[in-house]
Amino acid sequence: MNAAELVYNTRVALGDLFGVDKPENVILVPNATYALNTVLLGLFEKGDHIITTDLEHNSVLRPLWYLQSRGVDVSVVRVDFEDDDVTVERILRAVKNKTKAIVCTQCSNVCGRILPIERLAVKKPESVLLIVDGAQGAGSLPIDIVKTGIDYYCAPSHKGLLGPQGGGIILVNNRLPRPLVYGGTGTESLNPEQPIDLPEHLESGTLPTPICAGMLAAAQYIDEIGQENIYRHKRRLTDYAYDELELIPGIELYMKQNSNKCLGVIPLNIAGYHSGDLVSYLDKNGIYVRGGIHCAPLFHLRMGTEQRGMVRISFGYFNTEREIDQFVKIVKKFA
Amino acid sequence: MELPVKSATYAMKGKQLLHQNGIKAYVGKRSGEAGCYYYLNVSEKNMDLARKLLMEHNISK
Repeated sequence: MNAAELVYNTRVALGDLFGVDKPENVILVPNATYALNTVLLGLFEKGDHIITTDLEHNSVLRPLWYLQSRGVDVSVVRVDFEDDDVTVERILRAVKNKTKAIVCTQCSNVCGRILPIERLAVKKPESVLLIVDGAQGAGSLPIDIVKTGIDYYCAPSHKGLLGPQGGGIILVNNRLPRPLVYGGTGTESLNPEQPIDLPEHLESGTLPTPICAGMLAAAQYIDEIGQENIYRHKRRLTDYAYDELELIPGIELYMKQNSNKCLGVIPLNIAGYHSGDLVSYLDKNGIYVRGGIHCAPLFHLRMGTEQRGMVRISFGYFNTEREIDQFVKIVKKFA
Repeated sequence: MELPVKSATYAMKGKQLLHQNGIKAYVGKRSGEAGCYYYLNVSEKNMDLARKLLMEHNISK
């Protein structure tokens, strides 16, 4: 029962971070990809229409392409980097009679562009569900799921929620998706059907108590620091990094013009080099960043970097300006 | 006295609710007609109030 209590407290603490006051609506899953698959594959049928954006990660896109192969109509809307109103307008214009949902990221995992989720929630038709991939925003971009009107919010433990790898959440604020996995729930064992109550409806099999313990401690820590303070820290680091990075000869900064609308991640390249070259150089100098296309193919196709990739640097609450200075110094040597 | 609840999550939620209302409750699990279920054990004197609270908050099985 101590383990059950710990798991329950994890739901409460994570729910509190997002304005969800029903702990049973906090579903514990292995990661954000699993969370998004559960929602997307559990809600839609042939003939439905779903709208998404060109900033999405494959954890959104691949389930959508699968659904498309099963007769679901999928529209991809181009995000306007400069003007949120244009993005919202484009999404609203894509709505059809059969539109069942808008699925979008809270914040791009490649360029850090924050999407106008709140505005979208207000302007979308009530019958259209809003599903948010919070992988890059959770813990850094404070949001109240219930007040905002987000229907499903998915996030991993190990990014901004500061928890261990192997955990994730679905915050359910609307009807139940079909389960992705069926099995033991520790309840109603003689019932051949999956229980209809949350969280068991979407949680089969043994829950990872050690992961939950990590997620609980992390959620309590975030609550102590305050998500607003985490946001402000990341905002300061992002602005500082852009100011310093633009002084590097040959640097290509893709989002410099709209950097104030981006948070926590910066994509860049050095003229004449593949992203992997700089990643390897940084690796040898003790700096670990990611090159390639970051599982976000539509973004790279749009930017023309699907072959060369980009180097993505990212900041967390524990990074400092001094570390950015060291990074800039090393990149200058490379360039 | 045992009051069956929907699941482990609801058992914890119910326990907290009852504690907030001054009722001590213990969580237990056993098998019955429909298989395994969780319950809250409360003293007989608190039974009626506990049942009412659990019903009101949609925690009872």
